[in-house]
Formats: sequence, C-alpha cells, structure tokens
Amino acid sequence: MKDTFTETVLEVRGLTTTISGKRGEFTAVENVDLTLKRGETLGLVGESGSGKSLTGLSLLRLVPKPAARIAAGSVVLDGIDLMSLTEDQMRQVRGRKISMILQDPQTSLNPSFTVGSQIAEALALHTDTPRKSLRDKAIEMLRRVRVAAPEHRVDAYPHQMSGGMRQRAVGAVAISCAPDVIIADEPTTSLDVTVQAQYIRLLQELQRESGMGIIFITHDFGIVAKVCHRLAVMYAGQIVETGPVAQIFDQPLHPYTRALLSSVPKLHGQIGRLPSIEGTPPPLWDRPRGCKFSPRCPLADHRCRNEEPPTVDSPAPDGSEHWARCWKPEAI
Amino acid sequence: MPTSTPVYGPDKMDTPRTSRTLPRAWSELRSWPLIPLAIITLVLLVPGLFADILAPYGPLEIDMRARLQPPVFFGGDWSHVLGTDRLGRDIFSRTLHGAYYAMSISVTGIVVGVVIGTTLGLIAGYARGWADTIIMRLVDISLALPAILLALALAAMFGPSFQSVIAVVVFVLWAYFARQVRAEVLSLRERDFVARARVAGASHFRILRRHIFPNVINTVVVLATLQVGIVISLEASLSFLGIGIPRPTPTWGILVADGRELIVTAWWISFFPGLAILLVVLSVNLFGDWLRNRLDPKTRQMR
Amino acid sequence: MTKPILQVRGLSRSFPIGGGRDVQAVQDLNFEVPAGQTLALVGESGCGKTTTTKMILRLDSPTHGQVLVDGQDVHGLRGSGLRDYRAKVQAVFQDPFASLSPRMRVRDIVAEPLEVQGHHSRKEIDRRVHEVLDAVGLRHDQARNYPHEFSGGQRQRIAIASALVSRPELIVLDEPVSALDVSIRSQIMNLFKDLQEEFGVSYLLVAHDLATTRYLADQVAVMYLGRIVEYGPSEQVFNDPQHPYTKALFSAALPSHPSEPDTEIMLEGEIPSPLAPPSGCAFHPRCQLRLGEVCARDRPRPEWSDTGVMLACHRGFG
Repeated sequence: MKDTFTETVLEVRGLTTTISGKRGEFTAVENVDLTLKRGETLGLVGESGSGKSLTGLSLLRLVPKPAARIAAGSVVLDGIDLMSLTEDQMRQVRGRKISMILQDPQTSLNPSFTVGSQIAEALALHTDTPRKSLRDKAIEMLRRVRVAAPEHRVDAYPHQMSGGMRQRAVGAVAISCAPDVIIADEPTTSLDVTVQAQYIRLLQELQRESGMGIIFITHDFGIVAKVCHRLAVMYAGQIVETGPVAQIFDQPLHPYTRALLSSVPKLHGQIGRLPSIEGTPPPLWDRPRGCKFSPRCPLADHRCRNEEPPTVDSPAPDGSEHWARCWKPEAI
Repeated sequence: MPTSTPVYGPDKMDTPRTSRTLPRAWSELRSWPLIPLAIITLVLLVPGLFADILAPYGPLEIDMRARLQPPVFFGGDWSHVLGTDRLGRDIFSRTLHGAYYAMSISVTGIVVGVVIGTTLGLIAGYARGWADTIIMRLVDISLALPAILLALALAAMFGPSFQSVIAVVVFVLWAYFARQVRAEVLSLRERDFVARARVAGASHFRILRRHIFPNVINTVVVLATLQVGIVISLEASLSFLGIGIPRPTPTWGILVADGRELIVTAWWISFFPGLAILLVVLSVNLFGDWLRNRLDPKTRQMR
Repeated sequence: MTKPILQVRGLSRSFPIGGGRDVQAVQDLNFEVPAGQTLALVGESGCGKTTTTKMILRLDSPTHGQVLVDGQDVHGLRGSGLRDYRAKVQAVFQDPFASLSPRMRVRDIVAEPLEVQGHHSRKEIDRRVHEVLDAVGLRHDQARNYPHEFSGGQRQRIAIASALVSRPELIVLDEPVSALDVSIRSQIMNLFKDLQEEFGVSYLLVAHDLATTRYLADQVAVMYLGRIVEYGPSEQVFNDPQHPYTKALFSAALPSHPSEPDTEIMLEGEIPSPLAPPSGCAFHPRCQLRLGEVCARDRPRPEWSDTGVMLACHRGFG
C-alpha cells in the first residue's frame, strides 16, 4: 500500500498501565508510544498476555477498575489530551471521536434490544439527530456496513443474525458517529475465512470513505499484511518494534519479530521445518530483567539479560519511522 | 487467541508452582474467617459433642426452688448463669444440650439429603433421557410441596420424632441438590475433557467418578455448608410449632417455644437459645460464603 | 498407496429438528486415511467437520454409512473389539484449557487410555507415561502437577502425550493449534510431524487455517455444507484448486507478505443454514462461476481426475 498519510490524529506517549492484584502491583503496559495518522491503519500485534488489548482499553480509558490503573502517559486525540479530561468529558469523546469494536459480536450487542435501537442509542447519545429520524439513520448505518435488507434487519434482535452480520452491526454502532479513530480488537477472530475477508474489505471501504484512523489489534500477521499500513509489535507489555508493514516484513529489526514472522506457516513456497521460538512468553507480573525477550532469544548475551535495551532507529527509504528496542538489531 | 484466555491471567507459567512455605501458610490462615469459625466451634461443635461434661445440670433436671431465676448480672446468681425456666431448669445447660440436637440433625439430615440428591443429580444430568425426566419430575413435586405440610402429615401419622424431622430435612434438601448437581453435570458432560475420556475408552462409571464428580464436589460442599443454617432454623420452627422433636427434648426450637408466654417477664428463657440459633446460622453462612469464594473454580482460577 | 487405516463410506448424519423434519449435518462422505499419512478436512463453520469427527471417534452414530478402522466397522464393535478400537484411535482437541480434567494430575490424565484397558501393571503404565512425556518434550517430574499449572502450549503437549500413550494408529486432531499463541503453534506443528515420523501414526486433521493444513496434510478434503466438494493430494488441491468454493476459500486466505497480490474472489453472502440448504449444488447461490439452471437443479456427481482428485462440480475439471 503506497498511501502516505500526513495528518496525525492520535498520538500516544509514554502510556503506562499497571495492574494490582494478589501478586502486588505490576506493569502490564510499559511506556507505549504510538502515532496514528488520519486514514491510516496501525496493526498492534502480540501474543496473549502481551498487553495489546489492555493498551487498546487504556486509549479509551476503559481499563478494568479497580484492578488496572493508567499510571502515566499522554493520549492526544485531535489536539485534546484524553488523560486530562474528566470522566464526563471522556464519555462525550468515547463513541463520538474514538470508538471500539470488540472480538466477540456475541457479547458486544445487548441481546434484549433490537440492532436498530442499539445504533439509535449511540446516535442519540453523541449526535443531535432528531428523535424522529433516528430509525432512518440507523437503517442508513446498516446499509453502510452492507447489511442486506436493512429496513428489515433494523428490527432484528442480535440472535436472529449470523455471526458475520452481527459483527457488521457492531461495526455500524462503532462508526455511527463518524469517529476519528476506531480501535478494533481482534474483530475477525470469531469469523469464518470467507466472512472475514468480506469484513476486512468493509473496514477498508469505510476507512476510505471517512478517513478514520484504525488501530487493529491482532495476533495474526496475515491480517497485518492485508490491511495495515504500519505495525507495532508488542512483547511482555512493551512495543519492541514499530515501522511500515512492508519494511518490517522484509527487514525486521527485532529478533522476536523476525522469529514470529518466520514461524508462521505459508500458503506458498517450500514446506520445510518451521522455525520456532523456544519457551513461552513471560507472565506480566514476572518479567525478566533487561530485554524482556532475552530468555527466549538465541542472540542474547549478558548485557541483554541485565540492561534495558536502547531504541535503535532504521528509517525506511521514504523516511518514515522504523525502530526497535534491542541490543542487537539484526538488520543493522 | 482463545477467548477463554484472560488478557493477563495466570496462564503462562514455565515452572510449576513451588510448594507452600511456612510464611505462606500463616498468611493463608489469616485469610480464614476466624470469628465465624470460633463461634461455630464454641456454640455448636464443642457443646454438641461435650454437653454432658460441660453442662452444670442435666437438661431435664427440675428444681422448683429455683424457678424463673434471672441470669447473673440481671438479678440472678452464679448458680444459674443464664437463669432458669418455670420448672427451674438451667437455661445454660439446656442450651448446651440443644447444640447436640442442632448438630446431629443438621449433620444427619444434610449428609443423607446430599448423598441422595447428588447421586440422583449425577444420574439425571449424565444419563439424560427418561431417567432425567423421572428424576426431575420428582424434584418438581418435592419443591412444590411445602415442608411444613409434610411435617404436619408425618407428625399426624407417626407422631413427632427425631426420624420424622430428619425425613423432612432430607425431603427439603435432596431436590435442591439434585437440581444444582444436574445443572452442573449437564454442562460438564459436554466439555472436551469428557469427550477425551470417552475417546480414551473410559466407562460411564469411570467418567462420572474421575471426570465429573471431582468437578461438582466443591459446589456440593459449599451448598451443604450453607444448608446448615437453613436446617437449624427449620428444626427450630418445626419444634416451635410442635411438629418436630417431641418435648421435653431440649432442642433450640423447643427452648424458644417454651419461653413464648413468658417473653415479657422472663425474657431469658427464649433469648439465649434464640441467640445461639442466630449466631450459629449467621456464622455458618459467613463461613459458607468464604468457602464458596475459595472453592469456586471460577474464582479459584483467578488466584 | 498403503493400506488405509481409516475408511469412511457413505457416511451421513441427520438430526431431527421437530415437526417431523430433519437437518442433514453431513451427507454421503467418502474418504480414507492411508497408514502413516495425514488427511485434512477443511471447511468453514457448519460444514460438518465436527459431526464427522464425532462419528469417527464413536461419540455419535451415523444415520447411514460406515466408519471402518483397520477394516472393521467401528459402530458395530462390542467388547474386546471395542477396547482395541479405543486404543487404536485417539484425539487431540482444540482448546487445551477445556480438554484436560482440571482435577486430575498430569500423570493420571496421560495414563487414562492405558488404565481403562485394565491389563497394564502400574510399573508398565509409569514407564509408558514417561516415554510419551519424553516424546512431547515434558519433564518427568511435571507428571505430578495439575493442568492449571501449565501454559497453553504445554497443556496441548499433555493432551498429545495422552493421545500417544496407547500407541494409536490414528489420532484425530481437531483444530489442534488454533487456540495457541503464534509463537507456540510452530512448536506444536513440528511436534506433530516428528511424532508421525517416529511412531508412524496417521492423522485426521480438522482445520480452518489453510496454511496449517498445507504444512501438515498429505491429502485434503474440502467440505461445504455437509458434503465433500473436492478431495485429493494436498499438493494438487493447493496448487490447482478446481472447485469454485475451494478457489474462493484459498483466495480469501490471508497473505503471508504485504506485497502479495490481492487476488481475492469475493463470495456473496454467508454460508446458508443447513436447515434450508439450497437445491442442486449447495454452493450455487454464492458461486461466481455457476453455469446456470443446472447448478440450481441437479446435485453434481463426483468425478475423478487422473491425478487422483475428486471433484463435485458441474463445470468438471478445467
């Protein structure tokens, strides 16, 4: 994808979220920096327990209370620092300027209300649509997410729809107020392959129409390759590498990114033995010293295991940002 | 990524947990509900087991010279700490003996009720089909019939007795347990680990014993604990109504009933056995809640 | 081709849905798994994969047709024949968090297939348990632990150890890596390959991820709405898919590199409900290549190519 994006819509600096529980307080999201431009899709990739979903929730200030707490950092959306807003002001921003699509369409729609009334509710909350035209507007939203026969579906309950249709309806709720940023947390994981393809295309079309920025949280590099412009790889609560998708696929800097990319089975080419990463990701409450990946890294030495690695820059040919947090970035 | 995996759950552990050390055992103990446990021990268990040794008087020992003595500090003296009733029987001794009946009725009734209910619940949930239909209809009938009515019928037919109180308790409890256990078994039997056991060639009996029963036993224990309070109250109300254990047996219910007419002039006759009921039922419920939080697999996973 | 360990003949399963009507979950399946090889059943939700494996594992019985293991009809087995079958066929399920009994120790979970046979000594069982723990890369001392003390990948290794312990000839793998983390998947997939080489075991793989399938399977059967639409050697089917559904499914698979051209064939609509299957070829309402009336009217008959590919499409091989 050759598009270039200029206008920054969301800028995250030093975002840190902690969780306190029976194991004491520990950092689950550490010092996360992200930049999202208007019209751009940023992939936030990581394994379970990497902190990627919690990062998404932190951006909306929706971390599960009282266990989790945003400890530091700024999230600037369209010139407003979300961290400085009151809870009331934040409620105004949520849904109107930034909204979220969750993994499971089953649970993100209320089973007791029709799909149309749930879209209408979002519209009534965040726009000054007159009451009379809410229903028409809801039908229009369903049409925009390519739901067939929206005049009938508007009165359907979630259980009367298929999985793909439901996820479209969730999408309709999310885009109903034309937000600047959508955070999509594994929105296609529960969908079938062919339905997933349709849904991804829909998101791309909606993005082209409205110019919204999308943060796509996923564990799947296939999705990243297909929809994302830029990519941030998370490991054990930190972003370990970020840069343009093509650049990272061709020249990953971080050993973790490199190992992950090569361990994914491919649909084309040779079938050899798959390279794999030994061990399992560390639990967030018991992260190793130094580089968090060092216990699993084939290149790790004494320094990696004891000192926090520096950020290494390797800008893409077009000058766009590409860096990794590593003592031994391989491509340099 | 599986939806069942919590974002920050304790699922990534390379090495198995180390065994409990002494400091951990101490902090563990501190999380126990010590006050309820102490009350259960002092008011129910110890008197229940050792009333004969602890009680200064026999529970039925009449002493007409010491009629209606108030408790010590309320005008009475140390010979009858909690006072006496209108036949001069020692309230303290009678309350201690009452603990024996509260304990034996709840233990016997709950054990029998739980065993019957759990067994039938396991069968109904696992076998499904006609066995399930029959058992669940019996459960419906049993739950629809008021316990008091059954107690009245039993008392009318056989006269009030220890056995008929146990029968009422079992009757009230079994259906409750059968229904709870069945509901859990219905979801457990569809789980993959049961499918795996079937593929491995395990017999139905083995699947029930090794794969399903161990997963319902916690619920059963917790529910059984929570029933102690209900059973003690039930026994008390049956005895109070005169359709439970016959007089002059000093059950707590009868003791409360005895003081009914003198509640204004000699409040202590009803008050102390009533207080015993209140403390024990409350403590057992608090303990049961704590046990549920501890043993419930859902909250346990989060630890 | 070597002697098949599993043969499925005309397998059908319907479920009554009330009102005297039936829903056809799978219809007239025919396939086999040669000894020491892997057959993959591929398809989307509602295609009948799970129903099929349940019948092969004897967790459900067919309305018609047969499942033969070593030439014997699985659903007619009793007594010692049944016990032999249970030792010969094992399974690994998708979710390692759900497929291990939470209150049993690893040793007992792994040993179960041997214990139910009832003729192994405790010593023999312990020896075999240690043997398979070695094979899947777990330490002997971990046998004392409970499943919740392990990560997802390790739990799946426990499940695999348990499936191996009775020295089975066939293991049904039901989405065995899709619940695991990306960095763990390749470990487990390599393990499956190693175990096949070492023990000569056959796999019936059920998967929706095509890249995983391609990596593990020797043969592929593509299912749509309860029927096999294309079936043949993995290489043939992946390199030159014939059925329009197979083509669309493969084209919808996610790319492995951002520069891969987008050749996606967009299917219209979603998979129809098995309650109201389309007439003729079940795929015709979504098919981009449909010929016309014949597709809506007649069910296509399976044809075989010289290269050993079965195809059920009116267009035939092209």
